[in-house]
Amino acid sequence: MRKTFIFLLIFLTVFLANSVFSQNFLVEYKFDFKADEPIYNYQLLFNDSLSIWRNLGDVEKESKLWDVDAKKDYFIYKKNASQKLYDHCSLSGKIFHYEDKLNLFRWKLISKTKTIMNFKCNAATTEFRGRTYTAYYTTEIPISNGPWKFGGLSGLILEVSSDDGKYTYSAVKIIKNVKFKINNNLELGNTYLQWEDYKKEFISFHKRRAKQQKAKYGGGMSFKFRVETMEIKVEIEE
Amino acid sequence: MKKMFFVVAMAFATSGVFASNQPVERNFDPSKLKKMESSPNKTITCTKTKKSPDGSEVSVTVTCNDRSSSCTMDAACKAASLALEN
Repeated sequence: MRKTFIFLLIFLTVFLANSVFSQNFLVEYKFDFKADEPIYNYQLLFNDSLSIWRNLGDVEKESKLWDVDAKKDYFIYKKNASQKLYDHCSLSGKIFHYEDKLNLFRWKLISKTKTIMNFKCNAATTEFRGRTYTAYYTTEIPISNGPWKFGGLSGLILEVSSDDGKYTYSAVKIIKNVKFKINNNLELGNTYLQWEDYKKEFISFHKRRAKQQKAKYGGGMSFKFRVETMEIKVEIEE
Repeated sequence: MKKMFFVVAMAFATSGVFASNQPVERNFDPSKLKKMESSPNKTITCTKTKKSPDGSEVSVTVTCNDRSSSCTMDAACKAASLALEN
């Protein structure tokens, strides 16, 4: 009886702690991928234990805004407990799952400041997989998170852009105390590739693709594939 | 005197002074004629690019360099578009 009481007490304490202290946030970012391209909208849903980053283009209905389906959506899931992030991405229709470290960035604080959406922001720069980024973060929301894979600063990143001007994420909306629903286990029991293995697979995938096209059209045509993401740049000639 | 004048005049006329601007045949290069007779190599290039919301960008450049009728701009662009889709 006493054991049951202690168990219930612990259960209630954990449950209440999660309900009261775990504040859910929703931040919408616009993603400017070169000035001449359409601007994409992304959503960051997070609390103090996990966060989900996804393209709002996949969310068709307003009612689904808080509804994440791990089996259907492409997203980046950051899990504080394991200090890892899990990327569910698509490569020409083929789904890949890989894991990466949660805090990938070595930030250098710089003296610039900016006000974004009435939040005073400080600046920091980092070099990451071939690009230099400058981020503006606010300690008024003391959560170490941000758009895409970004995080690791003492506050929420509201704006980050690559110094080559190619990529910019800017926060446009912040809503506190949202209730979001997650359908299916986010980790799905998948076997996740490690980042380096995913990178190799990514390059092999495009090499196979170039070879297939070359085989299809014969010797008369040569194919040059140039593939560039925020993290990988590769050129393949067949 | 007349004969003398005629001989001098003939020698002067045939000395090449008047013909100095006519060496076309001496500078003629037969290889140039050969190049003119054959058609130049046909190189056609077409590039198609696809951008995705995740920030990835794939460009496919198709080049063909042959003398067959299959190497056209339309064919190269069609191959580049299909390569992007597949």
